Amino acid sequence: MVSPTPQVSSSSEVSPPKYQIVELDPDTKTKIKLYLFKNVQNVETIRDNIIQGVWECSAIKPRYIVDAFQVAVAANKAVLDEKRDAMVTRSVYSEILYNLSPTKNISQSLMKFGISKDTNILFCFLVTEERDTSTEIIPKIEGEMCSMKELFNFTSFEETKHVYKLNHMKEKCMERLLDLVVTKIATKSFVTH
Amino acid sequence: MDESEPQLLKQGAEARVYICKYLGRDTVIKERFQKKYRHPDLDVEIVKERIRNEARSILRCKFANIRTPALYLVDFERRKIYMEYLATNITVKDFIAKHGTANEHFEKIAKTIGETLRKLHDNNIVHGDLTTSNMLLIPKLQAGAEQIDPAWLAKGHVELVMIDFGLSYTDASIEDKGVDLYVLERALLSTHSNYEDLFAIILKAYVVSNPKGNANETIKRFEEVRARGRKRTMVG
Repeated sequence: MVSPTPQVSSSSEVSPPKYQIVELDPDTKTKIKLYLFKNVQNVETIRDNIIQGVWECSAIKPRYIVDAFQVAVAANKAVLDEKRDAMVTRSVYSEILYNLSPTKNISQSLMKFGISKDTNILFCFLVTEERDTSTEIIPKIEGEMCSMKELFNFTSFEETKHVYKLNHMKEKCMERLLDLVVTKIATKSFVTH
Repeated sequence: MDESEPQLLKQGAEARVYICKYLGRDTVIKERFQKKYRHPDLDVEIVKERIRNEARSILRCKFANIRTPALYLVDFERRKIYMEYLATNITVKDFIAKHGTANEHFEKIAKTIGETLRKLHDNNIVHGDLTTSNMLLIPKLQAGAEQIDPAWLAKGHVELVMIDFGLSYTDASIEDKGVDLYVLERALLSTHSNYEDLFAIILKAYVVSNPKGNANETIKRFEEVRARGRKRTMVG
């Protein structure tokens, strides 16, 4: 298991989990587990392992992620489409990256929302009652684990707006941005822009 | 009560609306059930088309800065749209019934409706079922405020949300827009017959809200539709 980061307060207190869990569609019996890391040193190893399918997780660029819910919406569709044999990409983990992206170009989507030389990484694991790959993978990440509450520090409002082509947005409101982003993700398969 | 168990909110002729927790959020699920009198293949196609139209219109509204529920999942297989549940809301219908038109915010709200409809039509979206039940007032968070002011409605801190795009479509013609306005007028006449000026205020705001665009054609067509409608009721 992940060793909890030391707390300033008394040792008797259990440190709160730094990851975040969101339950997906009840039929899938799956949850997502999200971990946020900064200053990751072994990005290349992580990338290689994921591309070769050795590590089962998505490594997401946090820059365009407004909220954990955004990943939940993308992952939920990926898991449902996997069940229905309706995926666009080869694995459910690349499907999450593809679903996050507003474009239908697969390689562009993976490049934009996946990691290349990024040292800040948001990891998404699909967890079921029988299986939780995060327990093996997380200890192998050489970086600083951050609380998911810090996600907003890694998000760029302007760049996210730009990536999702939301130039009509006037106010700088994260709530509105999330609304638009998830709606775009949910309608991507049948709406052309 | 189990939170994940869907609760029936509304049953219509086309769809059932439930609320439940989904992806950790309060969610409205709109399910379009099968119509037994239709051929099953045709039924599937019709439902698909309607779901697609509804989702498309909702997205298009967002691009036009019209508030609509956020979409979480569009599931053609289950015939369901999963969307944001706006917990704190009052329909325009209930607002008028409760507070009447003497309310200090009434005119502002009526104007907002007119402006919103104009934005809708300027973006070639036709709602198809404009009634005061399909317009929600929700609290508008004031700048710097963290939480909803309990007196939001009394203070007029409201935002208008358009819902139920089940009969809507995009790429609307002038005729469609004229009919859209006519549908609203008829709905107002039957639901709010004692507030005659309501539609007039809405229509005026519709006309003046975008001086650049040209609403004259739509208004002209609306008047034609209205005349036709009147003739029909006179004959029938």
